[in-house]
Amino acid sequence: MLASVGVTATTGCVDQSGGPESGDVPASSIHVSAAASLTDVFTVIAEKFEVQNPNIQVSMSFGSSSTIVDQVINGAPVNALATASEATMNDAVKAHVISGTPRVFASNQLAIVVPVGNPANIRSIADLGEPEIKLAICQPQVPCGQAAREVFARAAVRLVPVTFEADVRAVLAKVASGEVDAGIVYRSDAIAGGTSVESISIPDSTNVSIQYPIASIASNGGEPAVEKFIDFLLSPSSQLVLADHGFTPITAKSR
Amino acid sequence: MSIESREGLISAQRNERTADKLATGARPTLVKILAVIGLLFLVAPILGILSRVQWLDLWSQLTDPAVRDALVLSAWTSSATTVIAVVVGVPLALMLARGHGRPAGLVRAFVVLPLVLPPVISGVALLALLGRNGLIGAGINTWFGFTIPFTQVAVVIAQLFVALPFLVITVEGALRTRGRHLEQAARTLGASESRIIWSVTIPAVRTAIIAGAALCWARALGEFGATVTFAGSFPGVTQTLPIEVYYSLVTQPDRAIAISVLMIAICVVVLVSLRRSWSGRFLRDA
Repeated sequence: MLASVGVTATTGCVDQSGGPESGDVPASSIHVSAAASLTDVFTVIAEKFEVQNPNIQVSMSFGSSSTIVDQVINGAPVNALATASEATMNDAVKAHVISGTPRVFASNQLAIVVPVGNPANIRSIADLGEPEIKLAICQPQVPCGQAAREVFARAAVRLVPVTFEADVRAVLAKVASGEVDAGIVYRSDAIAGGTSVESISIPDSTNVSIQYPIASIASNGGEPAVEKFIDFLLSPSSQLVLADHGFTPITAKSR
Repeated sequence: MSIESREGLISAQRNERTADKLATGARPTLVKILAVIGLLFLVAPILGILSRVQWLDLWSQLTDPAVRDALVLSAWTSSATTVIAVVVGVPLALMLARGHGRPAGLVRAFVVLPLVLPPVISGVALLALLGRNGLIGAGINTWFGFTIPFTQVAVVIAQLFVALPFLVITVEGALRTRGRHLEQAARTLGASESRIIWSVTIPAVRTAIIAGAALCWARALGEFGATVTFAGSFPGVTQTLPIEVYYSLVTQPDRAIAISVLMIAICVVVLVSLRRSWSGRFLRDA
């Protein structure tokens, strides 16, 4: 065992009191740091996981992929990392903080979101090139910003946003408040936005697909529990939950 | 006047001696230890950031066009904010200093509210009022076809909302702690109320106005949460220095640290230049 520190000791804000309890399987708590776009679906999956594995407690935090990777590299007490791009995950791999190989568990595509009622009457990416349209996208440093740029390049539409937001949820918030006419987010976020936004799909020919890898963090222990969680994530029932939330299940796609 | 001022001087010196005695009095070891812990807690993070600085390419980081754009934007927006803050903040401080009773207390509570409010909430509040669908913003949009969010006007408004209280409470504090006899003297000499304000009251609290303006400017320069919520972020338009730091933290940490050092340096310069006017005089007056 390389890690000299126990799981609970390193998960900081989680459960300080619980050490290994009596029973055949040691109780543990794991902390999963995940991309902002996974907020809703991971909350649902973690609840189901805890029901099936009452001895494992899952706590989670969310942020832009580049932020959470940076936090993990800087020693955040995290046991598993799920990012919204393979590029950001590779940064973590290169920094030698990952144990084993990251596994892709879902993919996602971009969608246009507009305020309820679609006040600017947006129908396609082409409409977003109009100069009077106020558009919000993610900042170029995070995956959703890069993906948005790629979609506009593929569609050969001029990309002139009025604001670069920190992450997808911030874009969604700007759209939901009606401050912008449209935003580019992941399809899953368009669904998570519920009735506060309307979504317009982007055709496959111009859309880009992003992969979601998850990996266990090397130095913080808890690998057995994390492995269990990752297996659960790849199980058919979790893949169904992912599909419900707008993600493309990994089993449905050719790998 | 000369007798009165001499008496005042003597009593001030006496007070100072008592204060010195109190200040140099016995301090238990426990107090010293806790004080050092408190001090370390405040100083260590600054040392931490200084340890990360790549001093050799600090200059090239700070002269990068993206950083320069953010620097220019931040400098002029916080300066504009400070000018507006002085114009409306000093009169507000005058009113607050003269008011008493429950209504004045209520007004003061509203004035200091942005100091303790999370800036992101300030941003949400500004959107609710001045956003495209806001209370006033919707009207502005329909009548003038102009929306405030995502413009430099929005940056200044966000900064003003969070930074104005610094100026108001600094000036109000100075007004309250000084006596009213100079104004009364001017009044007996037949000066009009507006002349009293211009030639007696404002010159008397000049130091506090400068101190308040400097604090207001520094707070405006560091504004992040309300700005990013209300004004968004676009390079050269609304992307101020703190937003540039936050966004480059991940992909260009050296740049983020270079800007941070610059902002720390600016704040230190502001505080040191205030040291004499603020701690030396203003605080002792209070």
